[in-house]
Amino acid sequence: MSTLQEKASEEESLDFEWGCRLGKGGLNKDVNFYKSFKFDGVEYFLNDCVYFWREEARELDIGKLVKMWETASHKRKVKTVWFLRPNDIKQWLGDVKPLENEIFLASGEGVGVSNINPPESICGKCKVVCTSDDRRNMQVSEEELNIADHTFFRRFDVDNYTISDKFTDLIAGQQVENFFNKKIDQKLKKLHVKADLNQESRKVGIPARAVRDNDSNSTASVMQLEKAASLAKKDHFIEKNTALKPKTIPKIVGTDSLPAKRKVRYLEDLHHANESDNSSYKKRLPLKNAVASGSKEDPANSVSLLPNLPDHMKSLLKSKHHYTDKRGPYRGELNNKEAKANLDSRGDPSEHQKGLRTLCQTTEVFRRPNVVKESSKWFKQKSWKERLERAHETNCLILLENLDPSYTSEDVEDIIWHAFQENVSATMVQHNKFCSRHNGRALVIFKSKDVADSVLSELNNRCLMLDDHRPVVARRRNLRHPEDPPNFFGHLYIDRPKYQKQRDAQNAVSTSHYAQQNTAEYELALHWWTLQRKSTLVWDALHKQQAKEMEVHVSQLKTHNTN
Amino acid sequence: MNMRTMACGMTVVTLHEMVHHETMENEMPRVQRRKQVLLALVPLFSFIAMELSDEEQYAAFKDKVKRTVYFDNLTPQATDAVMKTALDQFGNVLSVQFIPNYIGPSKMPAAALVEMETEKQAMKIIEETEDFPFMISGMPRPVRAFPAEIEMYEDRPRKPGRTIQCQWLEEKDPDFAVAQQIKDLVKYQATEASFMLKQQLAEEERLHNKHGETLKANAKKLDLIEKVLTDGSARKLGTCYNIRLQEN
Repeated sequence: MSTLQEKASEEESLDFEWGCRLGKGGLNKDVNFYKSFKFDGVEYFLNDCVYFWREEARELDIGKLVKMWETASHKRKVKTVWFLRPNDIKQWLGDVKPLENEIFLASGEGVGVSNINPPESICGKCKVVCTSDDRRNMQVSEEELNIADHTFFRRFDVDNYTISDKFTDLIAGQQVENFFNKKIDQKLKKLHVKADLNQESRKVGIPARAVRDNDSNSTASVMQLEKAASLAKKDHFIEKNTALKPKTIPKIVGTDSLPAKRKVRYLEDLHHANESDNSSYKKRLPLKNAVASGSKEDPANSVSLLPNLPDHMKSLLKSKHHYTDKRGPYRGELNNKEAKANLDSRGDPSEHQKGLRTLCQTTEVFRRPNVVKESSKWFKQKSWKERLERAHETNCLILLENLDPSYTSEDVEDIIWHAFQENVSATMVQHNKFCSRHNGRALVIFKSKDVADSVLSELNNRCLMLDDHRPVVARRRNLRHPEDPPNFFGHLYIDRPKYQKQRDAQNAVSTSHYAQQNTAEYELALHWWTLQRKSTLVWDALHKQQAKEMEVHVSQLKTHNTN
Repeated sequence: MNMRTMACGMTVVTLHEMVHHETMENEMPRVQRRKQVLLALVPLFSFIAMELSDEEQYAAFKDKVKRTVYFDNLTPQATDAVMKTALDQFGNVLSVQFIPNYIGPSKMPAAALVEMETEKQAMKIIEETEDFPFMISGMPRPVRAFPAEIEMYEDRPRKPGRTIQCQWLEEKDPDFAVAQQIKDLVKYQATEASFMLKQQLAEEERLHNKHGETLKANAKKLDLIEKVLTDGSARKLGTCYNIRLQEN
């Protein structure tokens, strides 16, 4: 296994090259730090933002390279501070509505701020622009904003799971200035503008995006180029830029022979990965290949799920799924289509009747796409109690009733995903002896009050039938007030010190024991016993009666009878 | 001379032995190492196997449920440690898990799942608490014990091979009206159940108060007797009625 790994890394080393060295470090001065490296034909510098490929993640991770080094054993490492996508922190977004393309800078101390990764898992550069109005941040021009893949102006604190637009001085041990847009860029730009001015007419003809995709230029030079272009032909620029956008991508497909090569390479990688399954190297996804294949195919399916992503990201994601998902077709997609069809046809009463037959077809609830859950595992969850309380305060909590009691919490999440395309967290209400065995209940936390409201009215006005005979009942339900002192009947304490001393001597007050027949407590215990037996009988009778009533109703269902 | 050759021979032999030994020693670790590698791989494979079969996981969970006892009528002050010490006498307590009460009334007694080492131990607890009132962390209300059920677990695994069917019924659907009735029935039954729970809690409160009164009265009686005995009035009364009281 290890030999295979070595082989893989040897092969990988073919297109990896360190750039300028910064110095030595580490305990034995045997670690080399670098300022840049070239990998797969792309040169990466410190403070560049890159996409990372992670197994089973639906979206590429975005991170900033803050350190790069080679260890004594010639292992290459990069330290990355992460930008989090809204999906990663969905649970903690609350009322915060992320902007299009917005990402959040991770901050604080703990899991999810930064990681050390092999540079081989990088799959391309991306342009992240900071739009914070912090005085340390250099404001960027409209054009730059237009070409940015992502923007950020808020940070996510992994300690207390909050979002804030105030930036502290240090983030993951790095000066916060490194995360803002650089002032130096501005100066450089001015110089370059002059130099480029006479060439600008030529350069405008080359689509900016193609240059960027060429990858050999750092992001800074792209910005300069854009700036130069915009200064020269300010009024034409926006038109051109928008007009060029769709054209450039096919152009790459047509002229660049690289994608085909890369595809082969990628398959090779995959092959290797299968052989050495535990290889620590992540398989990466070539950016260009993705763009190329994405534009060829009809980007209708999964892409429609991700309305907030830039075009090339969508195709990227699509192709990623296309190549990497070994588990077969993306089931969630099919479900969505069906469910969407249901939702659409509901709005139109004329089509309603026609569609009735198809509407009534039962569909099987598949698992939610794994990735959705994956992202939520990034951070340690708050305890359910806290989350429920918070959800209750914000009216995001709904109680579902009449579920099959054998459903698991994930089953409920899958059902909601299937029926509403909402990503929720649910917990089955754990049974106790007073619960009916026929009625499963679940508490569901929605991401906002609006969603909860719409689901509530949807479930009340229409009817979601589960397993043929269980229409789901949804209600808002008050939680047990957390401040309510949990009082308990049945334990008596006598506050007479003398008496208590006596009892303490016998050591019987707080320890667990069987009551002996010659004590006073035995007699009292018998009273309790009677009460408990009575309660058992009464509850049994009630549940039996309720089950019978339910059976009568269920037998009136036509579909149930025919099945 | 002879001696010398003998000695030489000896050394040769010992050297030879040593060499032989060394090679043996060299050989051994290699074999061992190979074994270690193999051993290191074993848990990996078994882990994969574990991951693969949901059935096995589910079976393991079911075993756990069988070993587990459900307790209720517990005071909210009962903690993991209290439960453990209380049940140690029956066998090894593997885990204690309290069933959270998110939506029930706050007067509801606590409930817990206690996992024992063997099914036999669990059964014994259930049988004995059936026969004798068992008290945990206070008197005189005894706890109840039942076999645990799958639905009592929050983290129960998915039943292997189960599928969930779901469908949206529209108003035109012949079943729609029935389904709405079922919905109403569910709500009605939930109200029934919560009313019942309220009644039960009220009854418990009544019993609690009654017991409190009785206990207070008893304590008062005992107090009185003690007072009478200590301040000499008992003896006075004894002489008055010509009853001889024993001194203790």
